[in-house]
Amino acid sequence: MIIDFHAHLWARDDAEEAMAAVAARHGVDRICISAIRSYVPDVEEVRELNARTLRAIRKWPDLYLGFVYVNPKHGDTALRMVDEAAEQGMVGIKLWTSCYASDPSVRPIAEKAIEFGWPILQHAWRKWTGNLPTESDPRHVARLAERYPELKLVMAHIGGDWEYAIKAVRHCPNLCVDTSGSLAHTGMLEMSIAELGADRVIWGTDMPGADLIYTLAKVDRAPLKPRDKQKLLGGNALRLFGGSVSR
Amino acid sequence: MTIDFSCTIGPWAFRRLQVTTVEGTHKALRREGIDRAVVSSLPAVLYKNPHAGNEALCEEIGPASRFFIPFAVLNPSFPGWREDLRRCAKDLGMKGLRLYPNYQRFSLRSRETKALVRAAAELGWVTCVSVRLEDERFHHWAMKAKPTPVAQIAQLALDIPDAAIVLSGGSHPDLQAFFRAVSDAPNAHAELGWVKSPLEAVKTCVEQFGAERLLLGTSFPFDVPWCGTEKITRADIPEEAKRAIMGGNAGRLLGN
Repeated sequence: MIIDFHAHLWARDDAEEAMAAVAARHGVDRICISAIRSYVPDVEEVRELNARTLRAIRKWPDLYLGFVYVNPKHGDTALRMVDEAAEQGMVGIKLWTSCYASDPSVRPIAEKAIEFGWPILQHAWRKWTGNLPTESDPRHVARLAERYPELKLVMAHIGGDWEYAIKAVRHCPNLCVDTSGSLAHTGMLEMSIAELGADRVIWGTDMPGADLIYTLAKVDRAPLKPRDKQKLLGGNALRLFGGSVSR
Repeated sequence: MTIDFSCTIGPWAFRRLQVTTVEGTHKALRREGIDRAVVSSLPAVLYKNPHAGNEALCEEIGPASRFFIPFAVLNPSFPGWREDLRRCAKDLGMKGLRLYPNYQRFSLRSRETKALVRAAAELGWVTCVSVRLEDERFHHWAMKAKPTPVAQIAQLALDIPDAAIVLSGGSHPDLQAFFRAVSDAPNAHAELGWVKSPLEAVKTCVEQFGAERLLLGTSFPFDVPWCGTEKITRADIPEEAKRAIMGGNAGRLLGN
């Protein structure tokens, strides 16, 4: 089973239909989606975005796996959104750029994820051009993983600057990385697997802002051991979902 | 015939690249079914005297490679480029020109740059102009090079219609800006190594710009080569367009 751990509903009104068509053409079985827009959204925007995710997982129940998007700064409201998402059949939490992963406001969200056995997909990018004001650096993500060793935490994009990021998080066994995004550097997967182990690397695309074929080829065509490739392309994601997603 | 238009050879100061040799490059690209590769010296990008990189590259490739098509890296703001160009063509057998204005800090609007591109065109050479080699977010803190302005590359193509210009290292938004500016200028081309978005990136490019001026680029050894080839060979575009992008257009440009 091939599972894309990182895709979004944004950038285009027909993202749901477009991604479904491309996924069918290239043999992708499941796609984890969250709807995002503003870097620091208000409550109404988050509600609207999660409603879009819900519509998609209801229309394509065999394809899309819903991740509820929350702004941890919304406190109890954000927690209620996670509870509602659980009742609606979502399977994970998406955190983007509302605050650092190490911000105290993330702690109740992390505790809720642990209670539900859900993974958190946390955006991170170490940008030498400068991060957004509350955009996480891999070190912020590592702090969250250190505080909650039982949390299933996935750092997106291998943290952007992957050499920096891998060294920042390699001591956190509960922290995985996803391969989504535009970078397909030589040596990137090799170092990820050598330092983190194949159990901690997960394939993702960042569709529709990224090309599916390009991002799939990164892993699908890489000279990896067949067993490791199976883990990256779906096995590790299934493990994180812990039975809530069937084969 | 599959031709890669965006390959470089040699070490890079800011990241350890897995493959830095002619032999390793040949092996990696052949494994992807690539028959020929336009290559230039990667160290030359950062040398003050880039011609030293041209000499080292050609020495390593040897005089009779059927696989590599060596392009010269020259800096028109550095003294002696006319003689270096002559030596690249006559002594080293190089076949084209690559410009890195953002790393070598020269303007595409300068009289010297235009003179160099005209001189290259008189040799029958293609001129590739690099927008970027690496994602700006990824740059080393000691070497932050802003992208070469795409509008200036487009203007160069419009100002010198006899010169075949290839935009290199451009993202999809860069290609949109470039082809919008050059309109249907037949001398303006782009390689696809840096096109990684949107969802159906190559299909979108073909729909927006046509296939006739697009070229395969792997961005090797920065990027793994198979992403560059797969996104074209598996794209939902006509087979004829695939053949053109994978090598037909490049063969025509190179006079094969």
